[in-house]
Amino acid sequence: MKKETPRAGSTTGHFPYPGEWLGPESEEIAKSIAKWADSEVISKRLEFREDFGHQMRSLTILATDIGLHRLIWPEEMGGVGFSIPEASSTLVRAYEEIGRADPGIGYISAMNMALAATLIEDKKVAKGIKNDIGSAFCNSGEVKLFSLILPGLAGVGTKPRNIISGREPQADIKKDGDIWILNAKQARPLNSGYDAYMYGVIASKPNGFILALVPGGAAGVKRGEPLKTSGLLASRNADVDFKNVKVPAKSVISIDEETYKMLITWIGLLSCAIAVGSVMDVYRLVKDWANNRVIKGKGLLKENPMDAAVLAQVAMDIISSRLLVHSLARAIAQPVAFGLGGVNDFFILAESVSVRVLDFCNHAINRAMEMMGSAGYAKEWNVEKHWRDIKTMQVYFGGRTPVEMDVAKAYYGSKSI
Amino acid sequence: MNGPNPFAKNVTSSPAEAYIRRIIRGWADNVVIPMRRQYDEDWMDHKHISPALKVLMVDLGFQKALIPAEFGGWSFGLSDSLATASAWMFEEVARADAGMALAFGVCYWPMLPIALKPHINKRLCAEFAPMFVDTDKAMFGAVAMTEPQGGSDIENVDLLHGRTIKTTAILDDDEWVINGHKLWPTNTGGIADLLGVVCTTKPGSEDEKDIAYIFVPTDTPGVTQGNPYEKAGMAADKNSDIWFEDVRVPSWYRAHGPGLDALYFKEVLSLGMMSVAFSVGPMLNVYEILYDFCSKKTLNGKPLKEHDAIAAELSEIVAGIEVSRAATYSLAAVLDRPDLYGPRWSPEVLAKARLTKLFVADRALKDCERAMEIMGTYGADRGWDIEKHWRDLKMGQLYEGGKQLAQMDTARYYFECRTL
Repeated sequence: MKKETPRAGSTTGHFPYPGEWLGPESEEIAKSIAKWADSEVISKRLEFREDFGHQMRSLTILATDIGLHRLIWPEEMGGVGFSIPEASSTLVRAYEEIGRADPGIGYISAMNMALAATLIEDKKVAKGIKNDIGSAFCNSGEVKLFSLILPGLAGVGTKPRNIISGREPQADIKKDGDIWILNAKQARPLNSGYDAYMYGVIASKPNGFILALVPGGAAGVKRGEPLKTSGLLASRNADVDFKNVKVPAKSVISIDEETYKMLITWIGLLSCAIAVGSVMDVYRLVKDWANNRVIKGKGLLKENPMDAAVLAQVAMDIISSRLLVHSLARAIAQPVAFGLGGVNDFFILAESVSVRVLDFCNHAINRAMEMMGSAGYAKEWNVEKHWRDIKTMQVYFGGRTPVEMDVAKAYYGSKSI
Repeated sequence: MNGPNPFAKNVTSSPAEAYIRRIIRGWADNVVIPMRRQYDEDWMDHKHISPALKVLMVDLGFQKALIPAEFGGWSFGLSDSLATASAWMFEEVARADAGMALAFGVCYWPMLPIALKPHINKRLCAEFAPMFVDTDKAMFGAVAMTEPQGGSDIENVDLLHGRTIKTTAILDDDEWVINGHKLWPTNTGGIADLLGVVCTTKPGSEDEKDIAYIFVPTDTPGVTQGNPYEKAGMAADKNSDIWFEDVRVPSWYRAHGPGLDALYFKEVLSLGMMSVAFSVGPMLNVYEILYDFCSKKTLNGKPLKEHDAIAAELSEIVAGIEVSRAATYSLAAVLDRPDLYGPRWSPEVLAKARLTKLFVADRALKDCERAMEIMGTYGADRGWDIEKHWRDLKMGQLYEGGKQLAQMDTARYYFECRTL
């Protein structure tokens, strides 16, 4: 007789995932977060609809009381000691549950976790930096937000910078004696630009790239007003100017494409987990709707074949997405078993899976909204929030074309694209 | 924008088109677009939205357009180009704000059964036209059809024939007494002045003669509008519950009577599909924004528009706009000339209207998503306005019975389905 597959926390319905890749400890973590999701966020949605203060209080409970932000740091730094990359499946389960509650909270936590995982995993990063960052994650008793400023689009007529994986860094850095000088104008972070405790900026230097860790209060840092964005309210973002910001040598990490690709790999993995969690909550909401809505004066919505077909697509998107994201996590943890040779292999896999999973999740929510009609569009039912959050996360991942260029380079040997 | 903007050209050689577009575009560029980033927070109070709509509807006079000239209006309803002219107006308003276009367009909607040739109801026009023409206030109309128990069932006339309508109209001497509960009509939430209420004179009946279309001014005792719903977008379009509790109106407030009310209600539904212009208009603006963005931003050292893969996406977007626009004006031609294409209430015309909306609403949303993806982090940023259009465009799929009813009405005619 086959072993029963673990059920998905407190989510309604069962979307299979390879539970054998998670130990009992990981399931306990997922259960704790599921409890947090239900008691702190989902049950209070109408009371605290998109209340930034409540989102931050909820994040603090998650990151410090439950200890999510300590999870992957070594015990000697005050962490829980889950090792990276082996904890990738654990992280996916954790972020599924957070995404179920609020993708915005999940997103800012994920950006911080992705940075932490990259720094922990990258052997080139000095221990002193790891200690400093680890301390901020583990020992402060509060959530200290790291805001990532990564390469992306640039402006016509601006001085060209070194290109990393087809993207242009948004900042320049140069050495001046023992310190580095950072400059950027209206850099667009991926998250939390307005609230950052520290910025993680990938900058172009004359012969390569630097990851500079810049305190939010450093002289020369000027953050703009919070941007109004489609979703991810918890991530209060803002454009940031860096004008001759002095960065001590101990706060810069000389990086190459591999470090960047590791970071994108973690961002992709965790974003997908959040999206899967989000759409599982949408499934719960639309299922409730389909169970109670009578159409044509007689049958339930779910008993109409046309509507059932749409509802089925929602479930099929979740089934596919969940399997993909758990497979990606496993591939990151066990690369040999998947025939992966190096960081670029992870990167291409993570980008490919991310684009597909975010597409599937976006599609699923769109279809669920069609079933609910105007109610799907009204804030009271919360489906539209998931829709805005996942679309925002999708575009913040950087768009489809840059990913397609990366995949074409990897699978077809394209060189000049 | 700093480009050629082929979408700014007129679609016909009509001087009326040139005039209407010029007037509305001036209003949009000067009154709406500079303020529209504040509209989301204005969804409840309409402190910014109402004054802007007043300029369009009262100062520029567009709330008179449908009304016959003998009652002080511009007689669009007597012309052979109501739908085409509506498309011009709705595109231009929606280019600035789709929610405003919807609020504005729906002002005409309840009056269609009585102000459209050849079935003008002069007594009712004389009764209600002054609300729209002799006023210095923007006056809002609404069609109250959707009910709590069945979503789009009320609009599914060709299948259900009014069987599921729960809002009742009972004749008591020379008055209709109306009781019921409606949901979601555009322009409710406290702002509607005149309602066209779809109700039944015989609950459970499948005889279309028992469908009644009755006018109810919202200041009639017994009418209660709820607070508006907060939504993902479309801030200018307020929607709420409406309750009718022993609401009494004169018997002659019924549009035309047994049989004809159902027929003209179907006509209201077909003409309502000119809402496709609410999807085309925002995409005209998306093109303008995208033109500038892709000329100024680079990927991998090249301007976005010079990057072949991005250019491929851009071409899909303009293809979507051109084809959707062609479909919109093709539908308008069908709706404008029942003498050539058949009555607007026919299943054939309704199917053509539904499928146009099905295609255009889907395509506009998809193309707006493409634009957001090209723009990356800027695509979700209100400062670039694309995300606003995206949120608004989603509603285009959902209203007027939603996507699934549009599919069923289409299949029902084209494949002679009998049980959908």
